[in-house]
Amino acid sequence: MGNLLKVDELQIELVTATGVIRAVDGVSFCIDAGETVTIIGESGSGKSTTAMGILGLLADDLAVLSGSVRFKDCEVLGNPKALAEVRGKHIALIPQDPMTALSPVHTIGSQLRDAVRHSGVRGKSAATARAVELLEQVRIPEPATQLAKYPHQLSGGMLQRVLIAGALAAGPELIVADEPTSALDVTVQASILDLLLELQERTGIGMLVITHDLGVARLVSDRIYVMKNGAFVENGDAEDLVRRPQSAYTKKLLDAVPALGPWSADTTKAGVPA
Amino acid sequence: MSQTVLSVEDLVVEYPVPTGVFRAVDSVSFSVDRGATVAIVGESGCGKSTIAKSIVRLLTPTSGRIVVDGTDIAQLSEKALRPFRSRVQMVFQDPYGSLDPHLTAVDIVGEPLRLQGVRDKRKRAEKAAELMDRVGLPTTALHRRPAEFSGGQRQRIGIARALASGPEILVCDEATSALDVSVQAQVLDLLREIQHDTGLTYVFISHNLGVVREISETVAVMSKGKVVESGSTADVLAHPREPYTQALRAAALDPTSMVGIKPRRITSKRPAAPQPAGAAS
Amino acid sequence: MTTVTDSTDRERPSAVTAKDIARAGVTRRTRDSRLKIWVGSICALTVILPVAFARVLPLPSPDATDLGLRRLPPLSDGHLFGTDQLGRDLLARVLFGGQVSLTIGVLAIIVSGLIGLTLGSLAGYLGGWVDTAVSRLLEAQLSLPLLMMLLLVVALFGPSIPVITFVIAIAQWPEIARITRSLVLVEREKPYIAAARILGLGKFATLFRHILPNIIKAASLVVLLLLAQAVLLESALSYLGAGPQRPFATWGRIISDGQDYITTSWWLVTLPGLVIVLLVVGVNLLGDGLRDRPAGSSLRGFLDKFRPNRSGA
Repeated sequence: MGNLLKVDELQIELVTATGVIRAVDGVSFCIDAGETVTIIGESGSGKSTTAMGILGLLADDLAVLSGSVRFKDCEVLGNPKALAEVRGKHIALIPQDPMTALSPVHTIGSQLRDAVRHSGVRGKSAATARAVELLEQVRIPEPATQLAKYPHQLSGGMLQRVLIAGALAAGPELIVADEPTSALDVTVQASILDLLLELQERTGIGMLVITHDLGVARLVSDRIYVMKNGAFVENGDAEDLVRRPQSAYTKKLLDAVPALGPWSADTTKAGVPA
Repeated sequence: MSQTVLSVEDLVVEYPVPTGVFRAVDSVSFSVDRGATVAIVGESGCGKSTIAKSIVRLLTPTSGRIVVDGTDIAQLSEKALRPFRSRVQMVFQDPYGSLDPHLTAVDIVGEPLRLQGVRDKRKRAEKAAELMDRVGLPTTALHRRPAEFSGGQRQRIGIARALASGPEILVCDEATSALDVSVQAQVLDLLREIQHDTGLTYVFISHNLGVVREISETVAVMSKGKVVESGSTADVLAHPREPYTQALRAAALDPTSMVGIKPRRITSKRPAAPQPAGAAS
Repeated sequence: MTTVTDSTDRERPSAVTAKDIARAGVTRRTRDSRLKIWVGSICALTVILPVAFARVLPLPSPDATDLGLRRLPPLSDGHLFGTDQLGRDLLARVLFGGQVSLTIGVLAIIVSGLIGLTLGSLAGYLGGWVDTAVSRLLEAQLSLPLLMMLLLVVALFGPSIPVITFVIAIAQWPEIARITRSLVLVEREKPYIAAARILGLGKFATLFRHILPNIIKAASLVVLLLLAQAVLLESALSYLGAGPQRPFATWGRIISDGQDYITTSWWLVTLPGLVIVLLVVGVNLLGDGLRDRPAGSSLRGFLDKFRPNRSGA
């Protein structure tokens, strides 16, 4: 079976006031359906730039992209028509900060209906019904009443669920999540990550997750790529990478994460892996 | 012999809001001995930052006592507070906003010295160089501006500035939360080293349980303005008694302790009935 | 087993072409701001330099009337701008008149700058009733019809140069105060200000040592842009007869003197008007260019960074 997303020698250079900066220096990876691939790195490593570059969201007058990005065997890099076909419908984005990712002057309902309309649903009542359905999928309680609310009336966790619902509107095959939980409290983070895993189990979507948090990466990924200074330094199975890292950089990152130690009500010891 | 250098008793901080009054800190009490570290941990909105601001008197608490070495500073006037300022200092969360962008590193670190009466510019520069060295920054960096430093380096400058006053108590308000994980480890090492060498007392505010475990001996867990659980860090993290503490501990992700691929066993709470913005989840 | 990739061995060539650099946003912005600064400076200096050096230029006296040489057109022998209805050389009148107009303009922005900066920063920093008082005063003044107010003051106190300068300064301080207040409000919330307070720095010392140095650049730019407005206001007042009286002949007065002859001797009105336009456009372009300048200014130095033998950052 072919890959859902295949990135080959992607290079992203930024034209800035201080010169040409090579933010991404030839990265290659692939994602299959039902799989979660995480790119992990510290600030300035180029991980977010990679994701934004793949989605064609970098400003035209700033970034120069080269290499190859194929979605289901169709080249989208440098092909605006193909990218427009794919973006939003087949590949969706969950942006980083839920508090600022929605328009503050429109209701949740109207913004979700916008997202739903792009997937071809016609008519306000059909769009509303689909919006309610999407909110149910992301486990928002009393979805019908939430539609009339404005973003400032919802908490960060709720907003992130709304954003996930919007991403799912067109039934994409791949979701790109850029630091999906960095702006959230840790208990809220837990429920959002659980939701993403559950959605993947149910619908078989592929996920590309960008994060700096090794715990998040370990939890949600099948495979992890470690990025430093624009290039990958190591990649492998999530469990392999965390238990038996080979590169000095990965080891340094893992050593730096403060350990928590065992605890009494640990439910992870019992039970079978999902 | 250890003695209590900071004691917070029944601290209450209230803010006026359109619908009346909002109690950000609801009768919180804790104390910390000289040379020790107490961590205050909780999620956003629990009041931990407000406690930090109260201890350094960036705001005046509504009621309660903040006893520093025998004197209650909670309600002191600005004038009476002045001699205590140098004894309680703060390290901030934001490495980018916490340094004056138009000053050089030597000016930033030297300012507390100037306030203490060190008039000679050269003497201040000497002491500033000493402090920069203490926090692991090259003295060649003295005349650079904040824009030329990385996040971790700026945080070190902030620590040097706080140390310049010669404080007894250092309040670290999410001091490592905005740093990369490897830089965070270095800064925590630095803080531990300084505490070991000088006997400084830390009040460490954080939302990260792992960091709390690294840096503190005692911890107070906060939620909605109240202390939910407190005790020795090792004890509270290994045997949390309160449901909230257990939820916090369960949600904390430790990569090295997970088994299998995509283990879905973290407690995922169904979000409760919709709450106004500011509440969790 | 994990895979370790060592990409330091492969040197990947850059895909950035000269065309990419030329159309990059940052190149465009630098080039635009450089252009504005150059054109603005040239226009402004074309007016300011001759005005400043009017005394050493080989010009006839601006008050020398010669009724035999009345209303000569521009480029007449010895009179670049022609002469007015009393035979006085127009260029000399414009340049010497400009000395008064510019002096009033510069003095006015200095006074309005000081008042605006002071009141604006106090309002922004102290908040509370100081902010309320300053803001309401500001808004009240901005809501009054400006020119009518100025005419009223001049009518009450007489059209002397100090009164005119003061009146224009009063007209301009609200805008400076408003911008300064916003800038101070933003700086005030930043943690380095809290750090200064925790160190024990007093309120006003914090304002002077930390807040003002960080906003002064942005605030000064606004003051510079107001020079053009000050000159225009002075011209308007003089045109209406409320400007400095004879013997001072400022630009506005020259235009009003010449307006009876607008159909027969167009240069009496048009040439002084064009001089005002040149100054105002020049100052505004200069101000815009300075404001829009991206960090790392000179265009040639900027383009040097993209030369092939230099490595990227």
